[in-house]
Amino acid sequence: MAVDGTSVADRDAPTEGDGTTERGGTFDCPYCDRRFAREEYRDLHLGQEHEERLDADERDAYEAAHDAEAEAIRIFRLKALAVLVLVYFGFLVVYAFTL
Amino acid sequence: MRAALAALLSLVFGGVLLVAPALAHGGSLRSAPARSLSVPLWLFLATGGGVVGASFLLASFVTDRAFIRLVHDWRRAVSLPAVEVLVRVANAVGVVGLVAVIGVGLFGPADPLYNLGVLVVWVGWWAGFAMTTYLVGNTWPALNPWRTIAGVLPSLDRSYPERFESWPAVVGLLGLVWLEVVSPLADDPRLLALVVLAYSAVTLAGCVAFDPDTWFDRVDPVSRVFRYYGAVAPLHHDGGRLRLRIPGTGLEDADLVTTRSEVAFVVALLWVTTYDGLVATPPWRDFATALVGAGVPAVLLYPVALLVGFGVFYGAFRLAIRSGRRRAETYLPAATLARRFAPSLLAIAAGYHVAHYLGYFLELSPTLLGALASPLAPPDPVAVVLPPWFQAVALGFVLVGHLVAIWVAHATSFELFPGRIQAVRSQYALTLVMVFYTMTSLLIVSRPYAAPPFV
Repeated sequence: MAVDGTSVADRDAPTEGDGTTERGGTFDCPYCDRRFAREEYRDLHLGQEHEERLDADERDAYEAAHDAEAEAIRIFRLKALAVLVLVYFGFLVVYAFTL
Repeated sequence: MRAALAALLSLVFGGVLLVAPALAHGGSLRSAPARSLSVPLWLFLATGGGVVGASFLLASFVTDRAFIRLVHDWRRAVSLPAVEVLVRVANAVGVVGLVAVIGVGLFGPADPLYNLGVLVVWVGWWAGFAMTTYLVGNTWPALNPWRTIAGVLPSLDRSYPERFESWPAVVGLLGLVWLEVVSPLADDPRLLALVVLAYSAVTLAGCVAFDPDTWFDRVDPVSRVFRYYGAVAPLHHDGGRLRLRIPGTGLEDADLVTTRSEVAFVVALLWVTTYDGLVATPPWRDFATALVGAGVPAVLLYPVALLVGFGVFYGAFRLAIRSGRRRAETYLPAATLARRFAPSLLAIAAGYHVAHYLGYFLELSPTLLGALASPLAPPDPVAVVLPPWFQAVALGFVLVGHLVAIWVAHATSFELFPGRIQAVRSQYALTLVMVFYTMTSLLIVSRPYAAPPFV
């Protein structure tokens, strides 16, 4: 049976040696105890969870992060669509030759 | 009325026949339909896996947080007349049912297809009632006869050792399924009644030692199964009010699974349904025969396979969570992610349950009705014979369960992670594990029935 050796309490703190800290920095949310590996995640979090408390700079940062993400999503969707088409026609061809 | 119903059923299902007592076999009393595939097995499995993978890609197109929240928050109030009376009736039905199962089980007909106890437990309760808990809503707290009886017993109010969390429920669930597989619980009414008596004794003793709420909340595996199934269902209780929600969206709630033992319970629930089917397939029969031939004690075979399979399912889930955590670059602890994503597996478990038991329930429900009408001298068993395409319906439910699970995991990831791409990335490994679960269960469902050896 798989045994979980770690006993991590429910908290948002970096765990040592798990690779998360190497890749990104640490960006703390000033309003709650969440911590993020990327600045844009923190900015997005601020806009989603603490919208009513944001100052002008934070609001601008949120909108910038949101727009930057929209571009990444467009590219991701194109890739996903390509994979879907491949899967669909792949199965079509396989079925055509198997049945 | 019954004649009209039978005529209707025969129209719908293509005929009503007398069935041989050989219908009852194995722990789950399954019938043995001629399972045949018109495509090669590998293509069948790849298609199932492909559908799950493709639905993940489709779900990833939905990146509108407002829409995801709208789906989750959709609720409608439902008013039931005379809820108090209904609860009282359910209490009474539960207690009368328990007494009947034990009484008729011990002293009624010895043939399982004539015995009300066997039919009520397997057809009425574990197949039929269990389906209502995830398709409609969890009514077990009202029906649970042990809760009703414990309500009039004194309680010593010992404090429950919290360090045990819900591990006793995990052990209890695995133990019950092991017992169901290795013993003729579905064929021997006397044995079934004795097991129900033993279960009653343990449950009531536990309720007296602690208090009923603690017992059914932490320790009792059956109550926990129905509570988790109930989270899939559209009807639910919300602050004392009955409400309707979109099926599956209850699985997105953060307080459904709160400890590591509960994560293990969810995985165990998924695994035992698979295990139950696995041990009744020809590959298992060959494997078991070879192992016992090589000198492995037959007694160890089933419990070891149960634990190893559970370990594999649990390990796969943990790996998926860890991989998702790295990909999402999050500081949320793996334990938190495991708790939030585990409930999506419950939709898969419910899908397996329908696939395994819907046909069985429909086939044997006329027999159950006959036994209910005259418990001590039931008429000859009559079963509905399901048409061959029904197999496809059962497989359809396996896929529906996975599609709901994909959506629940998708919605949960959007709640946990601020980035939309980040949320989608966190799901790659979990989707792979779901594909693995799907292919495993499709493999089992597509194999012909072979009675488990050495039991």
